[in-house]
Amino acid sequence: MKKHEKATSISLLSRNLKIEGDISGNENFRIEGAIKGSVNVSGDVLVGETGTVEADISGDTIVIKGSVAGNISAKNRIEIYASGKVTGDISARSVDIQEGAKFEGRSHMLQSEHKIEASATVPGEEKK
Amino acid sequence: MNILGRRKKDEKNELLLEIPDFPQNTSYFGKSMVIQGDVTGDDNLQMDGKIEGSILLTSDLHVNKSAIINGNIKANSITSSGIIKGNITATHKLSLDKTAKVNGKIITSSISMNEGAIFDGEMEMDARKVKK
Repeated sequence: MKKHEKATSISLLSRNLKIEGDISGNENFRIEGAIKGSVNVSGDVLVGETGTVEADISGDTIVIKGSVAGNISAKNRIEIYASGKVTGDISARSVDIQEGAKFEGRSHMLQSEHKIEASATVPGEEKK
Repeated sequence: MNILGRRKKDEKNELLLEIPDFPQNTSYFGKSMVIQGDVTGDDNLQMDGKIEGSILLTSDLHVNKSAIINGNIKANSITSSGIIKGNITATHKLSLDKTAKVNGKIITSSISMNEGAIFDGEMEMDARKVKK
């Protein structure tokens, strides 16, 4: 993951907060609480274990440890940890899904011109 | 196994997982964050960014210098160095720093305003109206 100039800039939605609406920004964003709406950042996104997101998410690298109902679109990669649960379509250059993760939706792998990540790509699983 | 070589199973995802400066029960939105919608909850909130919508917290709110809030606010203790356009209800107290601007009605039982703060609106300090 390349370092962003804004790498040290992280926004956090903590566990006991809920946002109903659209969120955008030039930040890395860590979600421990609840969001209903949309998330569109030009940074990395982490949905923590307590995070519940009913929204489409788009970002650079997106890591899911909590629950997301919505489409996820990453410029770079998506990682779904064992505790993660995704219902929706995902699109990224590379996808990493840990054993135990739940994913239902479509997966679309973007082509990389540089093919840097091609050999390490783990294809997303597709379920009905 | 990871081509980038940095991310292992439990290794903290560097930028994403470490929130060094903030205590657990505090949310933080940076300068470039824009929220169009409502924020509710029980955690503290530090705002550097922009909100178009209301904020309803049982806890404290800090509106920092670069923050712009366009909507009504209700929280426990509120401090502001930024811009608030909307009504403010601070059930505990409200404190406006010298760069603060408020345009709206304030309901609180305790107010402090530093020289330089701009307040345009109505102030109500009836303690009975302020539910704790």
